[in-house]
Amino acid sequence: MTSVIVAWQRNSRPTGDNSAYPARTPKAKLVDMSTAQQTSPSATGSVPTLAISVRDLRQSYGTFEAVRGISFDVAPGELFALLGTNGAGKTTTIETLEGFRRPSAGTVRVFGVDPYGQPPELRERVDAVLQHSGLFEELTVAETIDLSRDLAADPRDRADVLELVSLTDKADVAIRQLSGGQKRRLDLALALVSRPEVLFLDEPTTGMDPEARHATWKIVSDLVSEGVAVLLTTHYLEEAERLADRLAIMHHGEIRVEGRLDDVLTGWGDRIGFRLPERVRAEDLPDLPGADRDVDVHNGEPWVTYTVTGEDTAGRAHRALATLLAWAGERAVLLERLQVRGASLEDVFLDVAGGGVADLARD
Amino acid sequence: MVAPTTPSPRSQTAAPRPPRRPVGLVRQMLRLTRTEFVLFYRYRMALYVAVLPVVFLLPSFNAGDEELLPGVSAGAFSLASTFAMIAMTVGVIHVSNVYAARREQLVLKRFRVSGVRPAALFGATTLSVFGVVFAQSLIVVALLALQYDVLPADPVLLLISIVLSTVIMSLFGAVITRFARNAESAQMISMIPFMLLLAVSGFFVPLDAMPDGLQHALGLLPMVPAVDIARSAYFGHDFFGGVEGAGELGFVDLWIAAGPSLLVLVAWTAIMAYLVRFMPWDPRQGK
Repeated sequence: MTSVIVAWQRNSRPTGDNSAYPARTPKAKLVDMSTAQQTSPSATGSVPTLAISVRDLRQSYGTFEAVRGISFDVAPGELFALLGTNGAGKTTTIETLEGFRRPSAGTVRVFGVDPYGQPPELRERVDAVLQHSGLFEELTVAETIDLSRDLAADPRDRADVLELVSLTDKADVAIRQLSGGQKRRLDLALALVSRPEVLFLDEPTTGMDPEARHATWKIVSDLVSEGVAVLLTTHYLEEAERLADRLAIMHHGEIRVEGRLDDVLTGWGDRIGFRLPERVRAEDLPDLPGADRDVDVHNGEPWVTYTVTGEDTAGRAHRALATLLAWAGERAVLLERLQVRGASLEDVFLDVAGGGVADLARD
Repeated sequence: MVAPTTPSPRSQTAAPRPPRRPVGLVRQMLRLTRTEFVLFYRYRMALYVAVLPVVFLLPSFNAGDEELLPGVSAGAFSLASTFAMIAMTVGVIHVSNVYAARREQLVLKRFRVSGVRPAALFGATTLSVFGVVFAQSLIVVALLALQYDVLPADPVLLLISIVLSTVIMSLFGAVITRFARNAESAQMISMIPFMLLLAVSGFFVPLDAMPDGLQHALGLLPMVPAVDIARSAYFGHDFFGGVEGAGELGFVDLWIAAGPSLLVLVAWTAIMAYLVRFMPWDPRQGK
């Protein structure tokens, strides 16, 4: 029996303008930059409401332009995720915001201040979890936390921090004896010690087991709820889906898509997928109205995906599915693992990154 | 171009935090110095760094008891040069290796993003290097006292020369990491200035054997003034113009004679303090 998994997701609704890429993401507005919002003053008129503001940032290494005119804002109490393939320019962007690089062009501001060189106004307000651990391997966990506490202005208690990252029982263990995931948790703990108002998380859960990853998500989420502005880069799309209030996908130094998750997913169509039946050749598959067909191999199995985009995506997906089922019924073809779903962040990511449509079988 | 969307914070009620009193530079520096000493011991670097300068003591023991000047034997004269050599060894080799490794492991970057000032990091490293250099200098003084029955004529001037040498060489060790991709390459790269400075220090090749122009030029590098001040401060003689005819000087005259060499060391300190600003903190910024 054909199993039909109908997983209508967030974007099974009519979309707006779908004329062309990136207009497949109608919420990713193609607004003239002169109208873009700058750091807006608060009610008092003096304190900037934005924690992070990036305007037309460009970064070049010699003749190579790693970041090509990106703009985004992050408010206090908001988590903004920067996604992208390796070399997309995410880390360069974060390093610029951390104050390690002067922009080749454009402006970056943290609480309204140019962060280049880590000026005194920002030292006590910003912290980061770096891409991999920056720790003295011969110190113990407790000694490392104590060192960070002694260097910070208003540190959290050591016991609180250790409990938060579940390393209390490792307090007297040398860092070189910790696992990779435990070191990442300690990295996070060190960033928490200083009670930052802006936190840069550069792939913070890499190397963590699922339990630690979920615990980290809870910690980060709580921080954001407390008013911390977080800029996250990650390769785990699930992490961005769970945590991000807004996100951007970078590719080749540009932001290709930006907005709230729902808005980002809107306009990327619905997917009908199934395993290609053994006795059916790919060229014999039907053309479905308003749907693009793609046949790919996943886990050694031929996989068929129809992507339905454009106006009235949901209605057209219904009609395409009906046509497909009718075709299969007429030929007594069993459509194994038949799925219908909305676009996922992975679909959008892979499309933006030029990797094609994500395989439905991964869901 | 995708225009930025409007932020959508999940917590609108978070009150602005009151400004925090920043941690003082000296406090950060001293705290990091403490950690440097702990690491120095735990990484067993202490043994390596303690043993390496012994190399410079060996020629001194072979120099013999021949008197270069009344009260100044060749062995003692040679041994008194090692104060600057120790500072150079520990500063250039140890600091360059440590900084390149820490940069590679993102330790330096981690400190910087946590609000630790560069001056605190460099200051802590220099203080810890000075601690090691000072301890080894005490051993040299003990050897001179026991073997040659001679104590420093002007300990303050001697200490100042050791301090300035240590600061210059420690910062120089950090500066040359700009040209090192990682700790391994730092080990090799640091040997180039180390050997060059050693060759032109007057320790192995007497400056008297060199042409006048070259002697003057080498006097503008940090090693020759550092060695000259140490020798002069230790024996109370004017060795700034060479050994031959170096007369005994009083306290004030010794400082006056040491003035130009001190100025050279202060100038090198300023140059290194300036150059170290360009040290990359991030491995991606390394060469």
